[in-house]
Amino acid sequence: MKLLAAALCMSVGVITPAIAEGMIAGKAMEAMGRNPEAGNAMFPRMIVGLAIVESLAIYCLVIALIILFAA
Amino acid sequence: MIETALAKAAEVAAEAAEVAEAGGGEHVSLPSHNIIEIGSFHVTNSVLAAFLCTALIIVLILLARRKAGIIPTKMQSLFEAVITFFLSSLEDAFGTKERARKYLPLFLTFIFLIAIANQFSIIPLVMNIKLEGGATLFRVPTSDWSMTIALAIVAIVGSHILALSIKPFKHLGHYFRLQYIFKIRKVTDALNALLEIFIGILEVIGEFAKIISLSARLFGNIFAGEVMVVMIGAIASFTQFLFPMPFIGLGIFVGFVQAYVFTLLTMQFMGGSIKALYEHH
Repeated sequence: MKLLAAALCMSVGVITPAIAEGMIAGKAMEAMGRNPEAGNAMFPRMIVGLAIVESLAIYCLVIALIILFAA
Repeated sequence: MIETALAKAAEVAAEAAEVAEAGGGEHVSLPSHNIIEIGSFHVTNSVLAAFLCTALIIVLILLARRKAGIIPTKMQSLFEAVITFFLSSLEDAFGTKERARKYLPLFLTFIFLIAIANQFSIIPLVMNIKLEGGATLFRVPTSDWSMTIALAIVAIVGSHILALSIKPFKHLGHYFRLQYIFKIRKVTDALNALLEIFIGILEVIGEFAKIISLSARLFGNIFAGEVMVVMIGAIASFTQFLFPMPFIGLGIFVGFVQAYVFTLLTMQFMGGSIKALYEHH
């Protein structure tokens, strides 16, 4: 039951961050392709956006770890 | 609410320690292993590893300084590239060159410490020293949640101390938005003031959320990388050798990216709150 809970937590929780990260990276690539000179200015902002979205998935991971090792 | 959540997390960690000790020779454990206790100060294996990382950084910097001059050595040009890069991104975050120069050492400390601590597991032989009971003498420092929470607290509390030391009332006014009460002229203004006070409360909660998200991101990425390598090795006897290699490579990449992300986010948080102090309304 614990394993199932952890697996569900990860697999369901990762769906939306995956979509969001794909959108961020795709849009950033599009913008960089249109305006290559601004690429250097865009890159750190893209990384920050990705990191903030990634933290959703990381919360799921932490909860899964707590379920597995602690609860 | 957050304090109770943190207390709960501490309880959970304590329970996890019992589970890990009962489990015996388990490789992966959430809390780190106590090595010695000096008074009430617990020296865990990750603390020892963090001290080793500090020593490594000092040696690296001394090596880079040796023979440094107008004609750069290879090490010197590497460090100069890192410093120039961070100086320019600090200038973006903080607004002016003087402020960027002033806060540069703090962020360089973050990037060097986290980048080297994340790569701790690829130092040969050091991670294989074992104590009685199956625990290792050293552990990747950032795969211990205490370490990353400590780093995040230093970053966020540090940003508040810096902001308070520059313009205390303006900084506090950002969180306790009582100044809008004095601007009430009409009924709609009263509603507006209430809304502003509520936003201020949200900002206070947001500061605690920043600590949790900063620390959980770094910890989660590094710990997950470690767990993945152990799991791949544990599937079957033949997966112990070549198979973990791509995952170790991924772990190295993720380690550098997360060190950069932690430093960049700290920079944005600190730069945002300090830049707001110099703006005129």
